Amino acid sequence: MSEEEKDQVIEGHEHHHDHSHEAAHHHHLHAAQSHHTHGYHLLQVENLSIGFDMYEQTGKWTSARAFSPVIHGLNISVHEGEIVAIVGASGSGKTVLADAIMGLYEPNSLVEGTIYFDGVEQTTETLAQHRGREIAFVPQSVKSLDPLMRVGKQIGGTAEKRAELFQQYRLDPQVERMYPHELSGGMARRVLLCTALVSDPKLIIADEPTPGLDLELAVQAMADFRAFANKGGGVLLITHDIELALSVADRVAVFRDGTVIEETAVANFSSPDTLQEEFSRSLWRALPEHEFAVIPMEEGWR
Amino acid sequence: MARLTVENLTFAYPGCAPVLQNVSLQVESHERVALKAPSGYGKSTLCQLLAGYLTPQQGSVLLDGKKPQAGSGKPNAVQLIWQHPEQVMDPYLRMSESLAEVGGITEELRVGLGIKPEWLTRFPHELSGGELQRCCIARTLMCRPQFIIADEISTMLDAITQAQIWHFLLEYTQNNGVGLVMVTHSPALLQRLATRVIEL
Repeated sequence: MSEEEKDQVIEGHEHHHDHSHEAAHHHHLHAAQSHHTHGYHLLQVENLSIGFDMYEQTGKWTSARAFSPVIHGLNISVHEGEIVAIVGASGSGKTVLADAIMGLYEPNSLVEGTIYFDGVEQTTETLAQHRGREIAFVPQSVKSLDPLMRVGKQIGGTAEKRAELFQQYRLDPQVERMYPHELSGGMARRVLLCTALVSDPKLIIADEPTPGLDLELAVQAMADFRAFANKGGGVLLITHDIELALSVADRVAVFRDGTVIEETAVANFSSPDTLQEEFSRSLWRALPEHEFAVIPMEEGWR
Repeated sequence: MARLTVENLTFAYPGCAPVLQNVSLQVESHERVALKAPSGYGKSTLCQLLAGYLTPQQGSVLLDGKKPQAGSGKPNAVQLIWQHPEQVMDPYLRMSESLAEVGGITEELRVGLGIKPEWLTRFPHELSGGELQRCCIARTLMCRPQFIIADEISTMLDAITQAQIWHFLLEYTQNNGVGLVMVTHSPALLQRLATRVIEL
């Protein structure tokens, strides 16, 4: 890559746009490559902080109340027609973020910040109303399936739509009649995907949608997300499978210790030289596709 | 050198068609074998059969010619690291208590796996998937297995942690003469780790 090209790519890094001429809620960070003149924001999360009131064991019989912030000062947005991938450290709060957008809070959580969906500021109640309708969720845990409900009923939608999705995802029609414990890990994962795709959402939040899927099925899932976005939907794809995410996403946000440390265009992930943060470069180098490097542990690695 | 042998193994879940039919394979303790098959082909089932969690209808799983069995307080010499760590640890026990069942955790193991001391005071639901999986791996290694069955153990881990854990397991298996059977869908990971690939 020539110096000139490199400069151009690096320009894609986060910076403030002058959005003063646009609606008041349009003042987030994003990459130049994904710049849109009139792109419509499906989702905007602004300055989100989430913490838990927890009891930490201090002795055999004693506990002390402690406040632990999991997410702090987080900004992220998804436009119409866009897939935004969130990659980053395990245990850095990515699932907590997904749950927050779905309006799913633990009773002991303390939340600050603003979430806009479809241009409207949201509350826990309104997010709950959108859940499973305009906002579909692919949860991380296959335990999220109701153990007492047959798969077909859980997925919902019309029989035709289910049959179509089943065929696409190589699920036998008799899976409809099965209970979750009868499914393999990969089958359960596909059922979760079908559940999100069967309704007609505007936004899909997918939290680790591909573990347990073979490469072909994982690629199929990504192609479906892409097709969904191309029809005007938005996808927030939370994943550890960076290679897979890069194959479909428009932008990548690198998440660490509860916040987005770098937000960049997908193209910048082709080389560590075009990544700004040391942590992002470490992620790149650790990938088995690249160096499979052992990054020295230090305080703060998760 | 230990040898894990599967002979003409057939397994069906109650009321279903067989998932595995006439499967035979052999793994030696100096090997790292990757099981490869599409989703739903019975890889996880085979892993559970190898570790003795399921009993085959036909055929056998033998460790050096004998049925590997837990007994007289000794854990099974074939240990499985599960795909979904959230389904493994006892929800009522703190990590330290779960690990105490297998004799606690050595400092070497704790540091090698990147387990922070404060995680040990937590319950499973208070840990992330990646944190929990590292505790599960520690629990497995504390059983001093002769074979480790790793069923997609790193999909919930970030790339940095994944590389760290796999390098640790590579070194551990090589230094201790422990065999490894693994399931992974990542071609790059398979190429890095496996000495042999078995297609089901």
